Amino acid sequence: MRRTLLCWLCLVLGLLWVFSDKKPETPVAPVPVTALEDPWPLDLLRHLGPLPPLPADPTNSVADNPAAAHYGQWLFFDKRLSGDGEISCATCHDPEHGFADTRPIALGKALGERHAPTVIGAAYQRWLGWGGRADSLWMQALGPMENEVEMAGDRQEIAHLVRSDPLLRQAHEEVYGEVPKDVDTLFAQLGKAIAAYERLLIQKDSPFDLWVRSILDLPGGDPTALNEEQQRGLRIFLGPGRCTLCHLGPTLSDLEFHNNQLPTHPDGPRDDAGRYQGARLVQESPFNAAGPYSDAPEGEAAERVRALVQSSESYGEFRTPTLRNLARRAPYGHQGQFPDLGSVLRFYNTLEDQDLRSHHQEQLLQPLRLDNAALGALKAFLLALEGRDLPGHLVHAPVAPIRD
Amino acid sequence: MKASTWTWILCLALGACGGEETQPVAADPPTAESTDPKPADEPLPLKADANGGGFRLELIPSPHPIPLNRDFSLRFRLLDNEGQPLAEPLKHMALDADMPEHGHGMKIAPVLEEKDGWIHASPLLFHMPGLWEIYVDRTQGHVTERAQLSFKVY
Repeated sequence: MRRTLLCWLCLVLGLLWVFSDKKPETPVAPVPVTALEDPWPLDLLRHLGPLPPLPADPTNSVADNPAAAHYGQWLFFDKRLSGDGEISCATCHDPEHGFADTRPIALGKALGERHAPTVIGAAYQRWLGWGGRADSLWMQALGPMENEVEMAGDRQEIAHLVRSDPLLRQAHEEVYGEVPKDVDTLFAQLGKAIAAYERLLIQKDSPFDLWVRSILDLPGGDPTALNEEQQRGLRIFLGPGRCTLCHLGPTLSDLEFHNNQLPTHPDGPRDDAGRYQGARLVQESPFNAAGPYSDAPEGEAAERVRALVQSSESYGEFRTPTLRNLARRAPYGHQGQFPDLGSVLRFYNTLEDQDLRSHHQEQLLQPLRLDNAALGALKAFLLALEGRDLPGHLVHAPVAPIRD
Repeated sequence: MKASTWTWILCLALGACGGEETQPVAADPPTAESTDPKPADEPLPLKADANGGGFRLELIPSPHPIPLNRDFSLRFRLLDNEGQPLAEPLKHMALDADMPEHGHGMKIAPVLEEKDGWIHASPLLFHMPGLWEIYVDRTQGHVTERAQLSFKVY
């Protein structure tokens, strides 16, 4: 009886709410922008910078071997690793464009399904690829070589190339000793050499890094490295922009996956399982951190990949991209659906064209409703995350696969 | 009026026209009420009673406080009302963690292992800043009880 009365009361209250003109609006951007002279949230800033030293990769015994990096740099630009000899890693990860792709959807042997993300700073990532199909740089490097829409190569033919080309063979032997008979071992070794090169693609000392060093009383700081507008943008980033919910950590990424209901690019698939598929792929691959080709199959990364869950929550989730070094690598988004930074900010400001699909979606997403001045400041801050240019010798193929 | 409005009315009306009250089931489902987050200087082990009073949870995170977006591990044990460890603690027991304000949990499921009178769980990862809750559920017959601890992670 009590329940029935309660239900009738709910009905009356519900009808009153339905026909009321004064419905509560969803609260947005409740955090005010702090004034320039206010103290900085140092605990939060410590999460963002300065860029720390690269984490070690125990799964790759040649990760920091200079000879391996040189050999890997050659391989990164070597089109012979592809099926038709026309495509290299650098085809989509173009050094002229921040080691990313100018096309929204990558075009290798055929049109792919996602944008080719930057390789700069990729060594800081926990998972590689938009869906996290790899758990190390070296594992990631192997995937495109045999993917039929990327390089469409074949590991048997690649192994034959390494064994038959005198310079490649010599470079391989310099790093690993004898060229292994087992094709999969040789294949993994190629990935590890490419990873050693990619670990050198780090742009350090952005204006933000220099500024945050001074704020945190670390050596090498420069309090003038961020101008007033950039500092205002940083306060928006930390406050009403709500950016640090996901973009937290020294790469300004939480290294994990979210479904932010981004619009679909006309050339991209609307239905992309994202992390749901990536979690399965990385667990099933023999080239993961726990597999027989890993140099630390009982290490932390191996423990993590074993514990990975292929949860329905992860359907349609994509990895939080780094916000460092954005300037030269437009377009943005996992399908390159945003041609410039302004369009990314407009999306999060209004959520216009948000693609509401089924499955779990980020519940915290709400329109920021920032004004143009705030958006301009936010963009100015984001562009202050551009590190120093890479050394010239790293952005093109070396003269030979072996060092002088 | 929007279709969603009519849906509201229909749902409310259907709810109001319900029949007799249903009898309570033998066991209440575990609740997910947030508890106050444990302060960083709370002495270890952290303690929480199960919502039905059937066991006490003692838990030690490592490192402590729990770091943001870095792998960590736990050891914990379930004690009866006399303070004695429960027999076969891994049997019908589940560990999980969630962000109630975000509506999601962890991306990994830790491996549980019983050793030296404690259950060791590893790896765990709280990848986003904010309020996290750790749940330990134990089911006996038709009754599931939950002990939970909350943490502010920054």
